[in-house]
Amino acid sequence: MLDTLTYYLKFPFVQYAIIVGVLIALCSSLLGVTLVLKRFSFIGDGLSHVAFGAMAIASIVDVSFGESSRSSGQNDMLIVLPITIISAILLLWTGQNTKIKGDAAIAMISVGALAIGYLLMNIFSTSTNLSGDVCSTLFGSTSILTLKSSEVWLCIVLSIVVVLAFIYFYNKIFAVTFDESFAKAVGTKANAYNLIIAVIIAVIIVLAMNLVGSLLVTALIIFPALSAMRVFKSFLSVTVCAAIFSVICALLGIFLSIIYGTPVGSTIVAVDMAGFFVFSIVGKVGGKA
Amino acid sequence: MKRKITILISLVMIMMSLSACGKAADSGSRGSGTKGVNDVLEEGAAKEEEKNSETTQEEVTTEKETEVTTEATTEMTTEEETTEVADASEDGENAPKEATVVPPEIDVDLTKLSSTMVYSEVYNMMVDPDSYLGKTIKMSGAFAVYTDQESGKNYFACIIQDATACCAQGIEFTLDGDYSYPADYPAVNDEITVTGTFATYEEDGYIYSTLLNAKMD
Repeated sequence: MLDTLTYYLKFPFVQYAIIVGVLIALCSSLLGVTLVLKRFSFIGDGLSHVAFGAMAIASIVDVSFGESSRSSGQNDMLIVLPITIISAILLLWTGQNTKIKGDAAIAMISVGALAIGYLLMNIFSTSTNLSGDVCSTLFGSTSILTLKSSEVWLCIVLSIVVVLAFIYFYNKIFAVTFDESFAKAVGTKANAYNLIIAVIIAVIIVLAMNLVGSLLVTALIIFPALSAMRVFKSFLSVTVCAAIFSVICALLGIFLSIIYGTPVGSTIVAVDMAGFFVFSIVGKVGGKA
Repeated sequence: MKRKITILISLVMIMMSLSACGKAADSGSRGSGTKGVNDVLEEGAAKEEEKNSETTQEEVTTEKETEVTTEATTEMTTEEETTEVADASEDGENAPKEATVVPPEIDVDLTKLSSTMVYSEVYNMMVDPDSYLGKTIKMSGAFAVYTDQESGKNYFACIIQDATACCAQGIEFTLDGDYSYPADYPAVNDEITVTGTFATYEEDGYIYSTLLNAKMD
């Protein structure tokens, strides 16, 4: 098996997949802790469905732009990212002050975007394999193994921005996560930091769709955080553990999927689940650190 | 705290070793170094040679390298196929005929890859065909045929699916020699193995990929 893996690692697209997979896993785990603690675990699902709808729109716009734009793939990101960011802001930032709150707002946007996305793909699609396109977008399929170098670079840049933003705003994110009211009372601009969190989450969701597809994005966000919480107590230790856990699981998932020919996204999520059970047992046996 | 971290790290290591360690035979080869691409290709070529030499005792044809260079503008097929026939008279009338068949060197052997890897590699061939021009490709998949209703021309392809079985990619091939459809071809969806030289051509303003001088098993 090691020989097979070594052989596969010589392929450029496998190297791209590992780079992007590690970066996405790292980014998604960082904000996962915040989302779980803020009771927004399901926002990843909602936003990924929005991103699915946005991708449908992007594919239609690509058709109107012509073949050259379609092959570049850059227009997808230009459309998908802003729409997802706006939706994230609506849900996280203003969602608390509207009549439709929390889970109801997420559910509404989630199913609405999914339905609109599929509808648009059916009406305007020029692809001969519509079900394949939908399946690939929802479950990731082999998206991570079919990346172009430009997409890898885009992912690297966005990942660096996300990690730097998280490190720079770490204390503020910590304050807003645990007690938003207290943070506001002591003069912290909680709304502004919620906005930053929303933007970062949207970027992570769009990136993570490449790895596991839109239906499985939530797993990348919640499993590392929940697993780390089984064993550790403090915000810092949970965040660090979640990041390491997420990266290891993503790597294992990619390796297993290319060796055994299984779908990449679902293999990564299966490894995440196995890790969660292991950490749960560790937490039960050893208690929380 | 340290004890728990130690336990945690140990568990992670156990998880990794459980999912990463292979068969005993595999692990045994670690000490002797890992098998590179060339090793794998040479191994495949050696097997192919052994197989061919057994079945072609009477053949005296030596196929030399076939080169196909096709540019993006679809200037196609610079093919060089040299056949050397061993002349019995050179070595004496009664000298036994020696058959030496050199199989074409396979640059990309998709039959050795997992389904996920095959799909990804074929996808990359479609997206970036220039990187594969002139390379000898070997692949296994389902046989498919498409008939152009206007021209009546048949196009034959080897189709592979991804791991989720929702997406399919295929590479068209043109067999080396005179074959007629359907007599000389398998039934649609039959499993086939095709070896041929990767090339592209233009038709109706579109660039298509194909395997030229293909051999089908």
